[in-house]
Amino acid sequence: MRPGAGFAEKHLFPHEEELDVNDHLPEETEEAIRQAVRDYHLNAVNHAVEWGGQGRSSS
Amino acid sequence: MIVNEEVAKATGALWGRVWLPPMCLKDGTREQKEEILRPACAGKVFVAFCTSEPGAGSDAGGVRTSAVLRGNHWVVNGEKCFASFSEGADLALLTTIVDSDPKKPTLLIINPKTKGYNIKRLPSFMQRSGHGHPEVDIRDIKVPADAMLGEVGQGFELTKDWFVEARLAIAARSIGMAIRATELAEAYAAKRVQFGRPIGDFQAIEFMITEMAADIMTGKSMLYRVCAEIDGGLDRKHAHAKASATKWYCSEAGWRVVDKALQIFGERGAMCENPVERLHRDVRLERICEGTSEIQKVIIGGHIRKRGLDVYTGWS
Repeated sequence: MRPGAGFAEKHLFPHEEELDVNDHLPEETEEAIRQAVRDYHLNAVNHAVEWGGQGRSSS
Repeated sequence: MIVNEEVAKATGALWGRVWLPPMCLKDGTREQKEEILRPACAGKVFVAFCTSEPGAGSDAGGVRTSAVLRGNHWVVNGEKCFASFSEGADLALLTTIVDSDPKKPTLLIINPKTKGYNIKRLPSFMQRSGHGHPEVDIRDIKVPADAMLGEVGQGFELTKDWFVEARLAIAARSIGMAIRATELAEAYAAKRVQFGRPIGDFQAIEFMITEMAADIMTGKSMLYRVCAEIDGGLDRKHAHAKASATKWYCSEAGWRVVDKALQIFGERGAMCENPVERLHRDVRLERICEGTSEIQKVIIGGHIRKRGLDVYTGWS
């Protein structure tokens, strides 16, 4: 499975219109997205596992 | 890059919520990596990158923000613009020149909440992302002497590495946006009936979708190939050369594709509730940020002059 597949549809698309209208998302939404990023192991994909990244290449 | 491509399908720069700490943080000392990189990877510390100035954009040699070592501190003065996301960041990498000497470009690590980091203006932009691109006045900020990434004089090399990463990310995002817009336009063309037929059955629309598909295929092939070359150990100069060409091609292709998608939707494509309208605003910016298409061509031309056409054409 492609890394990140389905993440945008499930965790980002639902907030698009609210962000566009308000130019802002509530902190609880931001935190929920941050947690989802961690759950999907998408945080810092460009950095080494040694430092808490996902160890994928930066390219 | 695959992650960038996937998450950029969301509009309003929501892709930015999937954080990528600046790659050059790997060049920090072990202590800097423990104190900055590790929490940045965990999403507990956000690090902005501030290079542009009123007189220095793509021409990083025009940076005038100065750093002078006084005892155990750098004293920093200058001005930054498009200091993206720094208004809410925990730390920022600041491009400076030491002793006002352009031969000593240096990256300092500052806290943007420090007294002296004054946000002058937070202009509104066509993309509504919830983050800003402030204009900043920097006055007598004191920075500990060891809060420096790399060495004095290494600032541009580290910035160039960041540009390679950022430009490939833009290329990937442009492709992701183009894919979503094409999927939406194709689905709409299949169900929208005019003159007794789905509009997708008219060749005028069908040809637009075929051009969109081919543009995506071409850009994506180029992007994946260059990324594979870099992963295979391509040297820094060639990586810089190829990242520029990839950024230029994919952002222009992304723009062509999303513009056609909006055209297929007709008036409905201009409605803000339609993701294609928002993608249209988003992808337009990709032709500008981290070096306009014209600047990319200047870079490509420079590499051809210095290294020969083979950089771009001499592969099998």
